[in-house]
Amino acid sequence: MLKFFRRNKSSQLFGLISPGVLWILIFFNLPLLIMLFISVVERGRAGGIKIPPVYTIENYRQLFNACVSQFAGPECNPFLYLGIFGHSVRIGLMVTFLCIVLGYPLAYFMAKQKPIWRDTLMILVIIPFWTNFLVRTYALKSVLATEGLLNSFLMNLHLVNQPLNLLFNEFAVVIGLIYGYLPFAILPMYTSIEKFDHTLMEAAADLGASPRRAFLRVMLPMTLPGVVAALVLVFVPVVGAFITPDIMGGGKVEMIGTLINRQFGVARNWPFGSAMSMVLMLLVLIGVIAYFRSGSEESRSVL
Amino acid sequence: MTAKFPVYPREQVRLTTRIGNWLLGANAALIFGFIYLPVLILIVFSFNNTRSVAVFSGFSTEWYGKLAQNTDLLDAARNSLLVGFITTIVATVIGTMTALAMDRYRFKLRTTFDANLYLPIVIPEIVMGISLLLFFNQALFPFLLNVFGIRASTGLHTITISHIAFDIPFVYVIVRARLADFDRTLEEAAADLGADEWQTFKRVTLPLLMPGIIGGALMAFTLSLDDYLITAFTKGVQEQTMPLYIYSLVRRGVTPEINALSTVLLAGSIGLVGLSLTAQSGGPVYTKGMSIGAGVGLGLFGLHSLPALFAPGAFTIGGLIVRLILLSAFIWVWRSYRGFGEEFGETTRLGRIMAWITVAIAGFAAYLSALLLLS
Repeated sequence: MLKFFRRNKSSQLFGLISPGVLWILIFFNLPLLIMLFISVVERGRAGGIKIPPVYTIENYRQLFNACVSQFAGPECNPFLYLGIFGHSVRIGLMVTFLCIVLGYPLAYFMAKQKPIWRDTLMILVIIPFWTNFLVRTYALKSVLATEGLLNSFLMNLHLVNQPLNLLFNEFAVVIGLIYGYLPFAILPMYTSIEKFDHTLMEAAADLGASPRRAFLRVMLPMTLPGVVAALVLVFVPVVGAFITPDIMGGGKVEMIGTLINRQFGVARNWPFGSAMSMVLMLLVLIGVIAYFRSGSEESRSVL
Repeated sequence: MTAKFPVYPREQVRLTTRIGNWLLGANAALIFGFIYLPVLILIVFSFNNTRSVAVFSGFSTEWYGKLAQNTDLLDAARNSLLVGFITTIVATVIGTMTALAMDRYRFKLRTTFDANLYLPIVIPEIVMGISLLLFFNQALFPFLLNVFGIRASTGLHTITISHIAFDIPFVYVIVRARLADFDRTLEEAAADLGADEWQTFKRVTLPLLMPGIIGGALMAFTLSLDDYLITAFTKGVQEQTMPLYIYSLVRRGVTPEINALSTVLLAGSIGLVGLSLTAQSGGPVYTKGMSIGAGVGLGLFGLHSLPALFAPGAFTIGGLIVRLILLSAFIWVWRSYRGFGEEFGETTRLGRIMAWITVAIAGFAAYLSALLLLS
């Protein structure tokens, strides 16, 4: 047996790669295909799908016009789901923008430090990546809670008379998402800025550019790949986020993730949930593919 | 000539940069404060002696004591560790094999499969969770029932299968990065010296890849222990894992007990990741130190739990075999200690301290997980 493997190159390759190929094909690609299939059939009466399957594109149409559904009431809002999608994208853009605006100066600050400080700060940025996301979200929640530290602090200073409702609204979700994904923005921008040759700024100044002009015309364009990487790395997970809107929003803030989750919980509409998952996946994949096509090195900095 | 360019007065430039530096520093302080203060506060209030998470009234470890008596929690921790260990072993072996195949061979559909391996990392977790839920319930289980007559349901095994599926790509990426820096001439040198392909692999390739493999394995373990979303969609009715348990608590409210549990988890995952990063970037002294630490931890547990096995009515053959396997860890330590000692002699003082820390962390982790899983 071993001898056979030693002699035969292609059987060596086959032996090495088949477990990986099989596992990924069966437990990753095939499930996605099944999801695609479920997204184009009618739902069953008690959840699940109708047997034998009846093909329909209603699940996708329902996304654009909520009144198409046979279960919709008379006073339905046709843009119900589209609105939630739009809302998620808006929250995603807002969080991404804030992460970049806050993260870029920090990345610049880090790149300017002496190597030993730079490494220390770098570790401080990396640690949140590997700490349990749930625990970090809970940490923020416990600070913002009605009986939490921030409220008791404000009350003691007599800045407010009664505790503020800092949780279970959109503000809390946005803060939670920034808290969760800011490190994803800092890392690629730092990689870019660190590589940037700062003598170019001196050259620009020597040639008469004001600091602002030098930044806008020299440094920003040259570190743009890092900014774009930050944009993708924050926007993609934020749009599909579930844990943060669920914990920080307390069921009061609807995003794509919570909407999809509900179809597999109380709403029991698997086909519609699958259709939304397909759309979410396509949204994300288009962004990621466009980004990888641009072939920037920063794309790998986070992995 | 110079008159053509605007010349900034020296004072003005200095002032703007000074304000600029001050602003940059303030921004950095604010962001690091924002990231770390909630976590520090969480840790501090886990030691509070009242139920409040806002007013610190005194130091106590009562919440940690409560954790140790919470049987639901201990069950969840046991399940998490079990899933984590199986996932890590399978995903590391498969991921490493795939990385080797993709690096060493050229074949049809190679780039397609490479891109496909990155997909599980980039698509939203909720999508992967849902597709697996549908796959198990609508495809695999009906298939097993109709074709083989096997009645299957979700449980720890489906969680493990799913975790392996999302961990393979991470191991693959890390080992592949290690392979990219690999000096192939070393293998040629081994071949020139008369080693056959298998010997070359065992004596040259594998040891050089080890940091990447260990790094990938620890990463896979951390990801498996931390995952909530995919676990939530593939879980069974009964068994809980740690993140599922915490999630159910966190949704209900804020208590020092959750703070204590979170602190334990934070310490665990930071320790694991510290090990992963040192394995990937540090020298062999660390990886050898880790295996020694793990060996000592397992061996000590075997020794420590041996008398309990011979208590009246507690003796089982299976228990004895497990204890013997654990005790054999001492032989493993004894064998690899020489290599460690040699490496140790060539390290700086700081490196030696770090190496002992890795030994201690690995030993503690191994002892604790054996304690949880086997008692």
